Amino acid sequence: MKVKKVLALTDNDSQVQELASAAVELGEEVVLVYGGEKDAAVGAARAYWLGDFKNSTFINSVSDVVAIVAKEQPDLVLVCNSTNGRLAAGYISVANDVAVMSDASSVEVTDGGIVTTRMVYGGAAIKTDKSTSAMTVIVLASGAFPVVDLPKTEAVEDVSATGSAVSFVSKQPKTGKTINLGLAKRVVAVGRGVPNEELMNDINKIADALEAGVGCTRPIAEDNHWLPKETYIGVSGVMMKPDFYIGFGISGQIHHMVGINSARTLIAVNKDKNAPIFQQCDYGMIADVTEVLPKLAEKLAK
Amino acid sequence: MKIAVCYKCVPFNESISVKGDRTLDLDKVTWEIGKYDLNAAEAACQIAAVSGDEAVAVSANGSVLADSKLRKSILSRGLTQLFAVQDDSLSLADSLTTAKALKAVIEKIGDVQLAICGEGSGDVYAQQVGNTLGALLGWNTVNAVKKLEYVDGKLVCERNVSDGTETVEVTMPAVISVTADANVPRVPTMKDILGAGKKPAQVWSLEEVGLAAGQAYETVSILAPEQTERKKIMIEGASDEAIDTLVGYIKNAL
Repeated sequence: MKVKKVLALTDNDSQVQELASAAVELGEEVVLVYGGEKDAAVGAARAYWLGDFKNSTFINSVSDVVAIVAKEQPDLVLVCNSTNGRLAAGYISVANDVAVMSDASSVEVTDGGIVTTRMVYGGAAIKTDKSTSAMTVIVLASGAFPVVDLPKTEAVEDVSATGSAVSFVSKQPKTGKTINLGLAKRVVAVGRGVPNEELMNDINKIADALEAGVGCTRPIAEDNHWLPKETYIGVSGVMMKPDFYIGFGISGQIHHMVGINSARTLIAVNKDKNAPIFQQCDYGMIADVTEVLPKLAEKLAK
Repeated sequence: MKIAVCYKCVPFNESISVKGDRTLDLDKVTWEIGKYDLNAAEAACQIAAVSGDEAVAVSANGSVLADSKLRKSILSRGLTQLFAVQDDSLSLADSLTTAKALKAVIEKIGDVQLAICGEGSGDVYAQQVGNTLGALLGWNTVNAVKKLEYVDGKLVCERNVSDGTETVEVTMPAVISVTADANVPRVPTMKDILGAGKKPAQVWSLEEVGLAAGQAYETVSILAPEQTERKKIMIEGASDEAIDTLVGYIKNAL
């Protein structure tokens, strides 16, 4: 079942295709509101382009986004899970007196309303909610819907920011390519059991050989800074439905496991035979990752 | 003026047990201050130290608000007093309902010019309350702030966005949500904890702040995830033979 009209909102071009893929699945008509590269619009009948935000802030476009929502009156507002997406979602929520259903890992349109699921209590449970309001606002978790090829959207209207809530000072662009790990079909994951950063070389070789993305647990990104923040898997990070997962030095805390527990094949290497991940894997190797990683990198590279 | 630190006491996730029917047993859980809220408290105290303002605790929650140990816990982190609205319907309320309750408390306090939230609560982690609260109050709202500075009566915010880090300047009144790496929350000393017991706390009912119980959408269920059946085939050691076996499993799975 579909709703009549979905408004898909993202502040950045890298999430347009994923968001539009979900919007096309959920609505008969899709209107896109987006920022970033102007030629990124796909899948929508019409689009509003907010700007590239290279020398300005999305915050001053929030009131314009709220006005577009008021004009379009969609049944469903589907928002990307970026920080700017969340900010706009809050304002849309208040303008329409509906609560945001955030980080929905599934969305279903039913006769009785729009049903979403999300994780709560650090992954200990799944909360299922149902919206019956005239407009539903959802922040979509990454990886919730498969990404499909969509035709380019030609009808794009420019919208200049009219808000002045904050003064833009400067912007430091992210160095390197933006990674959308949520879309990876295979993932090699790094945990705290990997004792030194040099081993990342082997991790990267293994990932290359397997054509996999590299992900990690939260401490690897936030404390060790070995990998960018957008590559940590689990609660508050990337949620994935990969075909293949192999984790090195990962104990298997629920916070991480919820991000990958629907993997088709799950493999773990850890020297601690009591690591909880071994209770949830298809193949487990009880061994020191410092021994396994160089050997495995060499064998897989062949 | 006052700086409001919005916080929520949540079940310590690892103390939650799952019943046979996949529902959760919350009767015996231990409660804690949501860990991201500690960053909000620290950010508020750092600004208060510069601006000469008073940082206070603000919450909207259920009966756990009556827990004196948890009250001491939040008040031992540099905050001077506590203001809250208590109702069972608020313990797992949606972000709009929560934000409306926080707004009511903030307006009842009176001279609040700045509200600081953590990146998300420790239970639902919707990351939405700060944004919603800002929109409701009509204050300048900035989320995902990883560096917050108070300069000449303005706030300079460095925030994470999808393609980098941007710096913006905002005037107050404002609602700011800080990230976990915005600061390192202080660890209260025994003296802080003892002193916290003497700090005033004002807890109102929903009616007293002019609200009624309600939720914006219906919660159908809260259930532990179904476990995926796994093969659990184990290999021991990192001998060449063991590695070959692992390579075999990997190749079969691709």
